[in-house]
Amino acid sequence: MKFVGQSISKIDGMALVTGKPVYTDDIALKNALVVKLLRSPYAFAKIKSIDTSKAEQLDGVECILTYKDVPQARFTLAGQSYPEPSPYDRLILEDIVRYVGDEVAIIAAVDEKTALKAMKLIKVEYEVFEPVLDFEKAIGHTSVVHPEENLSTNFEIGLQKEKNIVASHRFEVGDVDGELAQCDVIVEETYYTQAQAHAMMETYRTFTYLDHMGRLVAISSTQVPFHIRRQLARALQIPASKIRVIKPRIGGGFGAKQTGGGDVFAALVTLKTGKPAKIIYDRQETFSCTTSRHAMRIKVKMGADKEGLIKALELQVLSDTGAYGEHASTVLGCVGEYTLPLYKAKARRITGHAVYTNKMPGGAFRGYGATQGTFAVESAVNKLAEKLGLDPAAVRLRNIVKAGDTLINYPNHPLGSSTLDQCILKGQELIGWKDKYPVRQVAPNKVRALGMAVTMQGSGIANIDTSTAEIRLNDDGNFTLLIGATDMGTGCDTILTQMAAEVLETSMEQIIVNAADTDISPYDPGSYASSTTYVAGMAVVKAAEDLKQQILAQGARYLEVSAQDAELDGNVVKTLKGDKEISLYQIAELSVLGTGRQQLVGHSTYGNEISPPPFVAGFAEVEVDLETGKAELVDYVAVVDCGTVINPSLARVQTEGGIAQGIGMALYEDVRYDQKGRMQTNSFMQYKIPCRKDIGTVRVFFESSFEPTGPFGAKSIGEVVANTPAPAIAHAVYNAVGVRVQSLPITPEKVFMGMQELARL
Amino acid sequence: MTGMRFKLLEPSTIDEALDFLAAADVPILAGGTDLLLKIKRGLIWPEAILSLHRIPSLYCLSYEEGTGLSIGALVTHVRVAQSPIVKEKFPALAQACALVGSPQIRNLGTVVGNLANASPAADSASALLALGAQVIVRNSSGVRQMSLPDFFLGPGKTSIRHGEIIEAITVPEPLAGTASVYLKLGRRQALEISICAAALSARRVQGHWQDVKLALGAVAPTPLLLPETASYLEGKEWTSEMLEQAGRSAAALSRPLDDQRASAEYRREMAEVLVKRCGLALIESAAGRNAHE
Ligand SMILES: Cc1cc2nc3c(=O)[nH]c(=O)nc-3n(C[C@H](O)[C@H](O)[C@H](O)COP(=O)(O)OP(=O)(O)OC[C@H]3O[C@@H](n4cnc5c(N)ncnc54)[C@H](O)[C@@H]3O)c2cc1C
Repeated sequence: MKFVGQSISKIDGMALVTGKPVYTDDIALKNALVVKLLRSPYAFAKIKSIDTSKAEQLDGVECILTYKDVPQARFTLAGQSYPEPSPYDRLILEDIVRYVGDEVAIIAAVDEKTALKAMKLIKVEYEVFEPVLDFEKAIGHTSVVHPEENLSTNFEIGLQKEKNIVASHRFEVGDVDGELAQCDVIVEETYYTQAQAHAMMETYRTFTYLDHMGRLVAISSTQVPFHIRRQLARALQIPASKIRVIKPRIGGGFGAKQTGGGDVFAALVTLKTGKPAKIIYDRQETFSCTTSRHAMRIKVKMGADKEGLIKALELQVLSDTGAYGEHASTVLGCVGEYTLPLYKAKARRITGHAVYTNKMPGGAFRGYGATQGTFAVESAVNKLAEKLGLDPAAVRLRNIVKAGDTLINYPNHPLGSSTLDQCILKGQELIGWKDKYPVRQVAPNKVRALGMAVTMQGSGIANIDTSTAEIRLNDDGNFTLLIGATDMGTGCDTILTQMAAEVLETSMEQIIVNAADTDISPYDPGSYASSTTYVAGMAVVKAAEDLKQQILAQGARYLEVSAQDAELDGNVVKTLKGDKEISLYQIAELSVLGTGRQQLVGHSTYGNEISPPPFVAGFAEVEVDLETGKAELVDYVAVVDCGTVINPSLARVQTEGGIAQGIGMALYEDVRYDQKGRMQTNSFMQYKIPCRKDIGTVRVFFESSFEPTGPFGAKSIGEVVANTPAPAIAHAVYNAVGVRVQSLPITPEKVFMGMQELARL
Repeated sequence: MTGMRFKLLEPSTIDEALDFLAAADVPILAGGTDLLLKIKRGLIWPEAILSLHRIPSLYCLSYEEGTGLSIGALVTHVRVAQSPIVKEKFPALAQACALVGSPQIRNLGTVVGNLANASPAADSASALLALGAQVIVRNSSGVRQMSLPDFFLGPGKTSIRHGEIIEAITVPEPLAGTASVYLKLGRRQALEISICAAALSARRVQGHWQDVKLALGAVAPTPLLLPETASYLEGKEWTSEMLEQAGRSAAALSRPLDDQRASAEYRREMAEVLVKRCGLALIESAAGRNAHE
């Protein structure tokens, strides 16, 4: 193939790296009001009084808004398809503040300095309540985070607000307790995964203004323009038809921007003043006043027979959703959704709750529950293998779901593709499993050891993610590809163009790709849930095929032959005999000039009832210092089955980035709070993401499969790549020193203390 | 960036700089890697800051045989880390400077700034303590000089008074046979503030170690010189048991805190390990030197 499978450079790559004005703040009008937010210093409090009079008198202050000035419809910042599964539990501003950093007042001024000065002049009196900080004590706590009457959900998610339970989940196949009772070996362990910050390069930002028709326009660094439109309509109580959301280039998302940031605040200022406004979250706000990965406690029970056949798997989950329920129920559900199908145990069950606490909300984050679940389940599999005296790779090969098997999520659809078994075998070979597993002494105080984990994710949300693509043949013979998918640095504008170019047998240059603008783009939920390559990709392929047929028919008509006797060959339609041809340019021109014409537009809306899983086998080699407990990653091998690899170099960087984020979760990153609920890790000085030297050598390989339902056989890759490092590295550390760190991250101190304890036994 | 508006004073001589300081109490700017962060975080809001960058003499990094090393106020970590003479004569210092932050930070940050900032975890501080460095301070009435233990008063606190400028750090010429080493424990491989750090300097005379100096970082309110532990090691032929004992002694003398980076208990344990490792490293370097000769 000419385009699919080729490492084509990102079409916007040069503009991004050479600093062209393509991001929100580059585009914002220079006279836009600067919007700043006064935030709560308390984790849980009621505003007794708020005095803005002094601040309002300051020269250059345009408006100051408090809870008295906002619409009273509760909404959610989670960007999800309607009906949103996240509870409508927040107001733009409220007289109750539920975490340190919760918004208290909106300040709009001519410049930042004035806005900040005004902020200092606002006097607030609080009545401070006892906050819920420990999520394991949230259920039944004397403080109730969300007692309000008018909190609502679109459907039953298991909310019990008086108990601080946002969502409850239960799914079971088979008889878990019955199977467990008959197992020869049972592993029962509790795992903790921490809150993790997205740490994307570009912080949240939105620029708003009223257009020539008085409609609200929001240029927003978001992954979900259509969801933001719906969210703004609800929060501001204006019709969605009066709102336009435009996504420019985005400097990273990782799921963060599947949740709204400052959009509502800037929009409210523009509505109140009629003036352009912009809000830019600084790094500290981005760390401490947005969302993080949901911290979780996951109890695993796994049973097997003596031969290592897994018979039962049970997960009990407690998820900390913080002060608001953004993505609470869905992340909770995904813990099981992407782990339980992986092993063909007869009986499988997940139960769990997501709970409110007075901390920053959890949100969408690459992996979306699967990452947390994978750490727990894969750690348990490694422990099971040890208990059985079997090789952990062999246990997996014995139990994993294979192509043709039934996935528990989709009883009526056999698994269309998987090379996970080959991924495992290849990964073992590449990491040197035979020679290096489990552990070797490399220096008097240093050992090196291996560990592994496997994982799956989905490709879009089955029955919900539906993408539309349109491709038109322009008057000059070029094409415009209209999509609503949101390239946030991932490169989807490039790969979707590759797919269209492949179908239309044209060049990359002849396709103009436009995304995303709610006034122009066809509907797409946005880029999340690993949906874009698979769902939007399929819509693009089908739209391109539709257009191709139309071009062929039109060309054949002009050539006066039947469409069966003609073919599209690059820039011409010609007869199969080869005696007549007409150029695409002429077809294009003839389609739009004169009477009785019709411009050719290919179109497709695509959604699927399944979400085919991509797979990864990850292998870690760590070196552990026996005297300090410090673990360094020496080598990481990731073997990926993402179906057909549409663009190898972009798939590789997705994988490397996901592995790096996984390494961060394994060894370094941890969102921490003090006893009053103030975030301690609100800058890159305190919040440690791995630096280049900590990543070591990450080696990425692809074991392609062919997914029959995917575009050119492709599945997703964006999220699945983040899941293996934590369990694989934890396994390697265990093999090195015998300490199982079950609470992430694996710090030198935890390993050291674990070794001390072993020495005492 | 919020609040980053100030007047920049740029004197071209030290006397001119002292005049500015006499007129107003403004912060001194070297590489700015600590100072600008403080301003950005809103911890201080200076109207003006005094940059030393136009004072040529402060860029001087010089060594004179028999006297020792002089590190001017604007000498960056990268220059010290890469200097052949520092690597040869003052290896602990070269190692410490090479472990500061990242290449960007080492290109901007200065050794003097590192000391003046007075973080208990400052990398160059414990190395310079173990090397017996002196701080040369200028004020309107002349020059005063002090040893590092007198210089550090507490976290962020030094004995520099308003109106004074540190002109240089001097490190005395090591006696023949001296070796030194700096070891740092952090979580990341770079851009890391120490959980614990140790520096050891001593010279080998006929199989015995003399003039022992030991310092620890990040285990007390200031970088900590440990004369008691050093005197235990003084004049002896070190064994690993002895070094372990020294480690325990150093750990007992340290006064670490629990913070986000580590618990006090772990820090004490690590002080023990690092002290022992510093000793072993000196033994190894001496063995290496003998093998060369
Ligand atoms: C990302 C990052 C990573 C870092 N990593 C490390 C690390 O690993 N290890 C480490 O030790 N430090 C680290 N630091 C801290 C900092 O880089 C060092 O302390 C550096 O040496 C400071 O030097 P500077 O020239 O930038 O000082 P400046 O910021 O210019 O000054 C620091 C302080 O010293 C005062 N001062 C400067 N010169 C004089 C003078 N001549 N006389 C009197 N007072 C003076 C200033 O007024 C100020 O209070 C890091 C900093 C950052 C931002």
